[in-house]
Amino acid sequence: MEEKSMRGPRIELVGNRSVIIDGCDGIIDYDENKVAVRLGRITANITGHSMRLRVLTENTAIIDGYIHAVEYT
Amino acid sequence: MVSKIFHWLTGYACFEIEGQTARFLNVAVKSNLQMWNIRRKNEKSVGYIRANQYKKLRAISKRCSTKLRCRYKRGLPFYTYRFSRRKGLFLGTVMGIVLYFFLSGFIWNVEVNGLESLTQAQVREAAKQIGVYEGASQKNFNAAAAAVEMKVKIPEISWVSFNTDGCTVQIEIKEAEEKPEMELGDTPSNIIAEKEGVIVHIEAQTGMKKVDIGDVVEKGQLLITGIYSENLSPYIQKKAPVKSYVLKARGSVIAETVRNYEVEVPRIKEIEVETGEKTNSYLLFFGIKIPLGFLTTVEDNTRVYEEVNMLHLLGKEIPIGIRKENYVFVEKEQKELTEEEMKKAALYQLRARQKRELDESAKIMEESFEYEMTETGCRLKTICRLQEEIGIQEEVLWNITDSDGVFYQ
Repeated sequence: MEEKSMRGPRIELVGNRSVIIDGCDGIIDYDENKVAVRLGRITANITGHSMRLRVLTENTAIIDGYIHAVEYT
Repeated sequence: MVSKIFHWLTGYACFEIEGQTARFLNVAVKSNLQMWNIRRKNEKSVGYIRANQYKKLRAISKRCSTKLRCRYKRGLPFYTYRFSRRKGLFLGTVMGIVLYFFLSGFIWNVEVNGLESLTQAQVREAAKQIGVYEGASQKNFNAAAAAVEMKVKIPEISWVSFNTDGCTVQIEIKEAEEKPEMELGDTPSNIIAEKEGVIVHIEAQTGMKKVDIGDVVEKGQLLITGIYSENLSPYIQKKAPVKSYVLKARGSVIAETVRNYEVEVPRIKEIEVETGEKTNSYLLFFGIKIPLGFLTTVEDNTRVYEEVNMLHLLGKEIPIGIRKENYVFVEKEQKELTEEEMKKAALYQLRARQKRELDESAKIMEESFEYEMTETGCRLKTICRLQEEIGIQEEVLWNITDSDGVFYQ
């Protein structure tokens, strides 16, 4: 059986302190307790507290802070 | 850490955004602007951007209807910009640093420790000859080679070490102890009297004494003999074995002797009179001697006194100072001495002669002085009664014959 290649945005969680998002299309909303990121057709809502955007480029975002949950909508 | 250093080297600005932050950030990143550490502070967002990209944020801020404010700018470009307007200060700083590193390649202080009988001047002069002096370059300085050369220059040194501490060279010295006089051989000898006298003390370390305290001895008389025999068991009445000794006599014989002295001093004395004084001053600057003012030429019959005053900084001597050479011009004149002056000079001459002729251990018990004034000067006659060492070694020519009558010496 052929495996389907996994393309599209990539989210990497490092413990509950850091989230690395590759392939994001932009920031929808940004707050200390919530960051909403557009990933093509879906949106990733990262909730937590004391969060900050450590790095933000055209396709990549690294979010630091205390992460409680990652929700897709 | 690396990213922090990189940002500081390229320069960065801290900005503050109020309004539609998300839209602003999206437009900014789409315009290839690199931002980092963006965080929310109440209603505003604070972030960082590279210094050369900050200007582009203004246009984006207008487009997104946000309020943009620069909180502060940091980094190397901002420092160098300040210096670019003050080139003299920057140049001076660079020159100061270069000069500091250049000057730290020289020796600026030489310390000498461990001296006992040698003088500082002797050691410093020898060190100067081997290339260790204030103002010398440290580049060619080799401590081990310098130590070897120093021992050759000053044989009285047993051990020497050169240690460097920044621009200071410390010379640690250990002087050699004088080798004691060795008595070579055990040639049989006696101790005889060098002059006549009355014995006050006699001590025979080896040998047998032939005189006692209170005896009057003549010049050449035997005092301690190195050749003698003694009974091994003197208390046994039967014929006891006799042991013969052939030794080098050693000991001390002190006797009371009489010495006569006669000294004469002339009436007319040649003295030096100072006729003038001049001073030459020099500025000493890192080993260079710079004259201050016009220099005086040195003539004959001149006494020269040198005075060197070096500056001190934080308790350490630095190689900057003033050197003064005082020239005192003298002329010879003849002076007629008074009676008192002649007596004083005669006594002084007598004491100098006694110091030369008498041993250190000699003690003068009694002296009588007789001054006689003549046309040419003053004559002093002295009779001294003193206690001194009178024993001297005299070798004995010892003959040995074997049973066949062959003679050995």
